[in-house]
Amino acid sequence: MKEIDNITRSALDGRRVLIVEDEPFIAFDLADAIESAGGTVVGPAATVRQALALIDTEQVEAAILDVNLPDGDIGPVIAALTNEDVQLLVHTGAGLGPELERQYPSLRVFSKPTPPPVLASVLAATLAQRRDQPHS
Amino acid sequence: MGQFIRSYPWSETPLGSPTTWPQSLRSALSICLHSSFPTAIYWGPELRLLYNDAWAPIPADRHPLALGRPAADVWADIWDVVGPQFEHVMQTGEGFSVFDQMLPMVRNGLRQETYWNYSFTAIRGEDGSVVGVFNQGNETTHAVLARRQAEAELERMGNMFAQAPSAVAMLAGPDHVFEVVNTAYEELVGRKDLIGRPVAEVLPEVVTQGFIELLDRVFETGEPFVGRAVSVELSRTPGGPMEERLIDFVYQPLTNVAGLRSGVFVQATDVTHAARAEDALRASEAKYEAMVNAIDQMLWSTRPDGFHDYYNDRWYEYTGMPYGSTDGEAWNGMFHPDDQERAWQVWRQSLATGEPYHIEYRLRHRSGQYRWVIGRAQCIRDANGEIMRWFGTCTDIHDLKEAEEARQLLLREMNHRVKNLFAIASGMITMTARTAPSVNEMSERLRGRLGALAKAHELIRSAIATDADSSQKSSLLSLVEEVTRPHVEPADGRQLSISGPEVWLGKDASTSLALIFHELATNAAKYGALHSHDGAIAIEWAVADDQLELHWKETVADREIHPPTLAGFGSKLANSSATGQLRGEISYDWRASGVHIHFRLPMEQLQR
Repeated sequence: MKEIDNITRSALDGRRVLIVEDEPFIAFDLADAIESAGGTVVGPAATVRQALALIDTEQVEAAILDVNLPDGDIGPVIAALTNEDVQLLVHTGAGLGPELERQYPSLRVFSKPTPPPVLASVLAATLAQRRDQPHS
Repeated sequence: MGQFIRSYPWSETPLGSPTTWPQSLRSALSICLHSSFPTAIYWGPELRLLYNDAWAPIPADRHPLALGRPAADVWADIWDVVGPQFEHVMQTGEGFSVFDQMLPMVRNGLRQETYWNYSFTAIRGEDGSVVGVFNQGNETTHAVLARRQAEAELERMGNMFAQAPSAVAMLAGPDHVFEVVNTAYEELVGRKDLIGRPVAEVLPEVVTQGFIELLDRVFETGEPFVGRAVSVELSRTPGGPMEERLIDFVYQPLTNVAGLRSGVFVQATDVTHAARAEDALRASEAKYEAMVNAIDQMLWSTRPDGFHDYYNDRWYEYTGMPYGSTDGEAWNGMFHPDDQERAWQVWRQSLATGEPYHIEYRLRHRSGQYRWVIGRAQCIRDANGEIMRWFGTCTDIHDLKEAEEARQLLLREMNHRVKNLFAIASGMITMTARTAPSVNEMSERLRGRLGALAKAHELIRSAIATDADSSQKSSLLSLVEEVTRPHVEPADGRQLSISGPEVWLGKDASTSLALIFHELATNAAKYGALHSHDGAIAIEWAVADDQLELHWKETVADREIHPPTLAGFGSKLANSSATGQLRGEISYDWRASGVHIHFRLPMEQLQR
């Protein structure tokens, strides 16, 4: 655990991670995990509207997304972030739903409750891989 | 013929020249020649033949050679019959006559049976002795043959009567005397000695059953009577018990040649067995009908080719279609358009293979609604394995299916909620651990937060339990009461007042508000009105413009309140919930007498 924390900490160092989650306890828990891993939390946003506003104004490199939000499903947020080439990870109780699953078949979906440190380390590992690959 | 006789060479015969003929012969010949009836004279010991024109056709091809010839020569073919008759007349002088005498004459070379009426009368000579025979006669062959044919016909009819499978009798006269009966009739009534006796005498048991009156009426009016499956009580063995038979019968009046009523023709068929079998069949069919209509299912049946020719009453009640209107292939039109082709395919497969038919489809109810139905059918086969019929049922499973869908939905929903609760609890633990100064304090706070969460769920759950149809709503009043009341200890003089109209909350909003009120109450207990002696909290709300306006007003009497320099976790949570999950606003008014917190929350969001 200590080891993973260390790897995660170095991997997320300085990375800006958007959290979209309407449940405050879960949002704070996720935020805490990202910050513990050395990342910078953007949000948390509790609604689609708040999330889109943040994407407009803030730089985002990765995101942990809930699916069902008070003002609708996460679809518009995924669309906005896919364009930006951001590492996405979905954390949901009910699943993506058939429509979004068809639209984004390669999206990684984690069922609630997944411990926030696990989500943080998955994001860290993905970002580390991408950093190793030469960009064109 | 007279001319012919005169020119005959009589001198060459024993009769000699006509000039020498005695008066008796002349007289007889005169009568003969003047008669228009066939007449001949046989004269002398040899019975030489003389005859008139009417007689000439009798010997047929032997005329005219027969003239003057001896009778034994002319009638050689029938001499064994007529010879003795001539002999008798010649010997005794007695007249002789015979009717319909058969004479096996040879005509045109063929021996034929011929029949005759004829008479021989002795002619006496001057001395009184018999000298000739005066013969008159005519052929009756045609009449005899016709009569014989009629008799044969009658006998054949009689045989047919006797052998007829149905009972036949002919009753004569007003007393209905048995004239003819056949075996079948004898068997029907169980008696043989019927002929010549009246019905009332030999069948006394039918008198009281009205059959004699019926016969009387037919005899009197001449109108036939036809009875169908009429019950008759008969004693069919001598002295035996009365036995009921069911009879089809006809009483046909008979009229003789004179146009007078002569009797009644009776023809009867014992239909007891058929009638009873028919009754049994009807009873069986009625039982079957009662059974198939006593059940809830729709039943139907088809021919081997799948042609629907039976539906029970349930089908017609359910679909509201007129009886018979869905025969043949019209059933398919009752299915939902999206299910028609699929049902046809499954049905055709079953018809082709004999495999049981099993399908779920939507059937048009008489209300116009398409309802889910299970269709099943099986065929029955004959001894050769050929399909004889198909029998099928339709069972309405619409309510079951909807209940099952609702159950699945609820199950999925509960599954999500449980997962979400664990996620919240997990977050609570992390966040409480991070902010609590000690393990005891952490344990205390965690218990409080989990308690608030549990109360929110308790309210939602009881709402589900009391009204399965309500979409998991809880009352704002109950929620505020349940969550804040435990923090207030009235014994210390602290007061809690809650007032506002009834507002129903969705399950998500219930959870959020429970956690918010819990945090506010906890803060009040730590720093505010519930920490002070004689403190009070007033929670009031109203709904305006689809917004819930809720005021949390704390009053502290014994000290002055200051805003906190750093927002605690509880406040952060309240803010986040109010602005995020509930998409509303929250504002704080820090007064020295206590904090006033104002929420403006959209009603729409509170329904979630």
